[in-house]
Amino acid sequence: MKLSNTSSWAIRITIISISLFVWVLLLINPGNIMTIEHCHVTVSGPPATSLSMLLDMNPFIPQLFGWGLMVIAMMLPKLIPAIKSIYVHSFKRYRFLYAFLFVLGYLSIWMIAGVFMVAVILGLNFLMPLSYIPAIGTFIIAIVWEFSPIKQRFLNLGHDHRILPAFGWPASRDSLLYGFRHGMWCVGSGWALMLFPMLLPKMHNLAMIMVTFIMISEHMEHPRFPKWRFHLRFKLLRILIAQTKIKLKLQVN
Amino acid sequence: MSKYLRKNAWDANNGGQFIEKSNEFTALFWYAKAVQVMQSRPIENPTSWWFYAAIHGEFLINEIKDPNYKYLNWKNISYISPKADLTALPSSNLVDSFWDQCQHGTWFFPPWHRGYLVALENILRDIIINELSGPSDWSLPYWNYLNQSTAYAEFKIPPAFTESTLPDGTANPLYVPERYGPTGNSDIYVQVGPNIQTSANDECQWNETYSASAANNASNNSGLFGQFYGGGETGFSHGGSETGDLEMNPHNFVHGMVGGESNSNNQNGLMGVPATAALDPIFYLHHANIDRMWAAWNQTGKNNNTANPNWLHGPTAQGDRRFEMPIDPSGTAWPFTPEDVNSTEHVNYNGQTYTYTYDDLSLTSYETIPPTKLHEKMLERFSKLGVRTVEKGFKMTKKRNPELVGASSGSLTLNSKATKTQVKLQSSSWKSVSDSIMKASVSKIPDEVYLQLEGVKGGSDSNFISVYVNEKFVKSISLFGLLSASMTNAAHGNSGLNFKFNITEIIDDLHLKNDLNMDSLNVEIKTKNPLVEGKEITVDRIGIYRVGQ
Ligand SMILES: [Cu+2]
Repeated sequence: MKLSNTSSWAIRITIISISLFVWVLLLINPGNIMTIEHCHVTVSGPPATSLSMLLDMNPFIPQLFGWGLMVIAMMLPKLIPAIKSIYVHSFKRYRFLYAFLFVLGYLSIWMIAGVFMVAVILGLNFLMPLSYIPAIGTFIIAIVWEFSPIKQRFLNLGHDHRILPAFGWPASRDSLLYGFRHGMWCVGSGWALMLFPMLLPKMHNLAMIMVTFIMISEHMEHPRFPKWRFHLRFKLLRILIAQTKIKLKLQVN
Repeated sequence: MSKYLRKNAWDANNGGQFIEKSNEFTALFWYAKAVQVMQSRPIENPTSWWFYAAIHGEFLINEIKDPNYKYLNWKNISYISPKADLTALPSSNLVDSFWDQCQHGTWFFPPWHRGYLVALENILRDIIINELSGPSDWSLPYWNYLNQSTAYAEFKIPPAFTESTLPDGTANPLYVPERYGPTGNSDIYVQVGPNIQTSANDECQWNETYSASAANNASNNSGLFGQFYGGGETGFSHGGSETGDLEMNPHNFVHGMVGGESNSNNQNGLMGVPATAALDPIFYLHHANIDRMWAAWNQTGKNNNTANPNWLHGPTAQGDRRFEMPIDPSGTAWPFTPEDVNSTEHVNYNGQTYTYTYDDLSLTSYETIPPTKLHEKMLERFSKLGVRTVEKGFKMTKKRNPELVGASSGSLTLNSKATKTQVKLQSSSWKSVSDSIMKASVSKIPDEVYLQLEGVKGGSDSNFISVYVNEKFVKSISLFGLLSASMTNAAHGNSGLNFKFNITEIIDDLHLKNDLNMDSLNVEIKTKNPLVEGKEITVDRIGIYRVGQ
């Protein structure tokens, strides 16, 4: 069964609006409504000399909150297919609840990962403030991870959209568990890519946008047999190019 | 420029044989000889039989780990000659470009297979002309198992495919021992006939719409399996669930019947599983027939394929890999789109126009009475439900709004013969269905009701299942493609297959008997072949859906 076009569009528009809204908060910070910085360090004064000083400037909890916003902005659009599948497979009155539980489960996994990631970021900033070395190191790890069979395995698992029970407590429980599972496969495939922009002393926002594009693209690719393979997963880019060509051709004719 | 003519494997080959009455060789003989040549080449060679079969699908790189199905790994298939040299694989470039391409459960099913046949036919013809000094106009024969000829029993596999030797004394490559037939005793034929639930037919030919986007008005039928004639509008789909009418029956049905399941060990025949099917030379005669039916649907039935650019431009329009066939031993590619193979009159083959047709383009061979059109069907439904209608007084829209109204709790394991289960209906959702039927009027079109088997998994590809609701027979379907759809790390992410059944009539009848006020439906699923231990079929969930306007 396929969800009606109307519901499909409603889901797409809602999710993309939420994501865009958070992007605006992160990138533009209109009227400085955000009191915290999502970007890790903006150490403008003398280099931090002690961990406590750094933590003063980059308190852990607001850092984690910023991380959460970043995850919402970057990852929410990736959940559209799963949310659509939950909608069409659930009774009307429970559709929102189950989709919400799924998203909640998914985000909580990224938040747990965030605790470790933020700790690593703060630690590296303390040891090597304003250095490009951590970012370059992570970039190399991300590249190796990108072409590894383990990453392919995680991506394949991300396509495991199972049918949930329809009734009662099992339905709620499994929606949440589905979110947990989907979150784990997503962290597994994307942790290095997510870490990279966070460690960049400059151009953080640009890197974040590029990483989002790559991560959405690679989740659109079909599952493949896991092996070492040099493979750029730029499906979104390929679609954009192909569809533009078709539109141009139609206009000419 | 010549036009090639594909002819009937029975009628135009002296009853499916190698030698004409005039003592000349038939097209089937030249086919067998050319297949021999292709089979003598190692799998490394893109023009070998083995490479071509792997283009459709393979269990060589995609090795099966499940001990129950290891016999399907190519290394274990005795039909594959040692000359194939499976230990020396082609370069990974060739493998990535060409292998595992076949399109199933998608609107790309008809055009992909057309391109596949054109490429193979050209390789075979080159061999027949240049290496065998055979006829220069040789074309692929087709096996029309639905032909009601009185001269031959054409539902049987042509005899050329069961001989052990060719007239020249060499081994016959058209004979495949791993072919078990519909009853599992190696008697190979297609079950046709009104008294068999799992029988092949050509009802699909009456469908007038290629796919959802080609439905230009609401009176277009959505097809027997809800995916129209050509299939669901997907991207590149190497196996999927949006199977069109042509693909399900006769295509999948014939695969399952010819391959079959052996009575002695319950193994699937090669034709019964997509990743081994193209090893069997009968595959290409079966597909030539499917291609013939599609051509007849266009030319005789006057039906158009979809003009959706995402179909015409092929899967690259949706960011997926392109369709391409190797045309020489070095692996030169002929990339093609559905637009290139839209008509058999001008196939764009590698920069040239390639023309072929069939000696029989009758719309149907078996079915004789077209089904009632959707509009009349609607009128019938209204009168059944006691709604007064004025001719043309109702308007159907293209809007379809599916909503779950009932579901089984937990998954289901199918038993060997019949599995019964109750599918619980959710009271408030079900009430909207019964309301829509009870309050039906010309301005309020009543709901349609569907049953969906969700997440069907297993490896019984040659098997069939028949579905009953409240003791009424609904429909039978073939499980072709089930094993690959159930494997992890395959192209589907092991989500299994889904099958959709329209059960509106049964629900209407329940309403007429005042039985709509119920809290569950009784669903019974029967399998055609027995299921042995370890090879069970599971169903994640049975869902009942209403589709409102
Ligand atoms: Cu086939």
